[in-house]
Amino acid sequence: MRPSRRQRFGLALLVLVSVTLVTLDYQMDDGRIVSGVRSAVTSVAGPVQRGIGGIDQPFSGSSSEQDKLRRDNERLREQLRAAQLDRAAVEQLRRLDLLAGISGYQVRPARVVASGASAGLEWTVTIDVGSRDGVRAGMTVINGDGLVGRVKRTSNSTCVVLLAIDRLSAVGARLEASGELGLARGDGQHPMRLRLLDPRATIAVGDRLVTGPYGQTTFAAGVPIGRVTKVSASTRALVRNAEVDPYVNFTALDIVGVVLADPGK
Amino acid sequence: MSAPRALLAAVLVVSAVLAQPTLIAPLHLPYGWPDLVLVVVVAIALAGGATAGMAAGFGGGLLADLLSDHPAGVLALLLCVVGFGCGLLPDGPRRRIPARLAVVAGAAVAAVLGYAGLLAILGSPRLDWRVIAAYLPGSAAYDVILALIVVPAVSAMYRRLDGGHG
Repeated sequence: MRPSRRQRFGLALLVLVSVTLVTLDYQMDDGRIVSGVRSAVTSVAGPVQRGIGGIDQPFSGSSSEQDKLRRDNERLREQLRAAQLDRAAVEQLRRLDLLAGISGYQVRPARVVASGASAGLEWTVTIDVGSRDGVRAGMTVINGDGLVGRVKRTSNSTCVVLLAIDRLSAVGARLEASGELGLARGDGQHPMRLRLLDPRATIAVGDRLVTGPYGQTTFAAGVPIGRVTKVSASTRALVRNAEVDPYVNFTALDIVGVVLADPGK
Repeated sequence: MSAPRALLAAVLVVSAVLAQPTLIAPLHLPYGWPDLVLVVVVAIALAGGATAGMAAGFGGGLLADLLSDHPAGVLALLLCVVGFGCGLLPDGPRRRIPARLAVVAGAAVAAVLGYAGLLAILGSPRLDWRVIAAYLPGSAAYDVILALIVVPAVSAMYRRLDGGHG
């Protein structure tokens, strides 16, 4: 079917509007107009996302009336599954509490309600705490295993977390054993890439990496990031690179905690 | 496009935009990611034509953009063009299931490659061709599977709406 003149005009108009938006939003990182609209949309969608994302199990469909026993059985099994889910959540909370206790941080627990729309390239999650809970952009997010990421934007009731494995994420890091500093960058589902400041630093496979005081954004210090799995062979290079396997399983995030500390400190 | 049709399209698109990050993305399925918003836009284009397709694509894409973490307008541009293109399919093949599924698969491939292309133009460090190459076939397959349910359902809703309003 050939498009009519009006349809072609409509398409051209919408394409033009899109391109203008991309340009506006891209050139002014945190451009006022687009980011204003963005936070408005996020605020409206937040409660809905919390509602949908909070559902732990699919509702069992309305089965036929004739077999009451089967329905009871289904219901009990469903309850058992919910109880197990709760137990898993409690276990995650306990581990989170343990990590927070060791590091002495005040942590606000939260639940993941949504994942980045284009998984594979955009590694973000939305969690169910926001500015009304005292969460601010830049705060460190952890779970019981270690570093999850940092808060990128907040709405009233939710916030978006940039995960440590996103390619836009760079975490100031420190080798726990030697104290050497470096920067750990995300690479999606590939191992994180660590670049040490001192090319002659000693680093070995198996070394533990924790957050340190270096990088564009300051993370809460001493949070476990991962384990070194591969070290680049050349010592004559200007920089020393290594691969790091993160402790956190980023495709199974559920209970996380926001470190309620001033990100500026 | 009549008012009830526009309303139906809006409800479908908004639902898809909200369901994608809350219900589908957290599944972290292997080999690809199903894109419910894309499938719904294609379904609307197949049922309602090019104008409906491009309007649904632009609206849904823009909303998805604003709820995600890339420059706003990227998905609006892509889905608007995809919706327009799918709506141009002639009436004959539009009713046949293999043609519809081929359109969905083509739209899925075009959307993923278009997204990667736009990220490349913007110079985004997030663009990783290894991921695109690994996930492209799987994503198209997931979209076709979704379309097996979504496309007939949307067509049926449009038909019922038209029946109810003469």
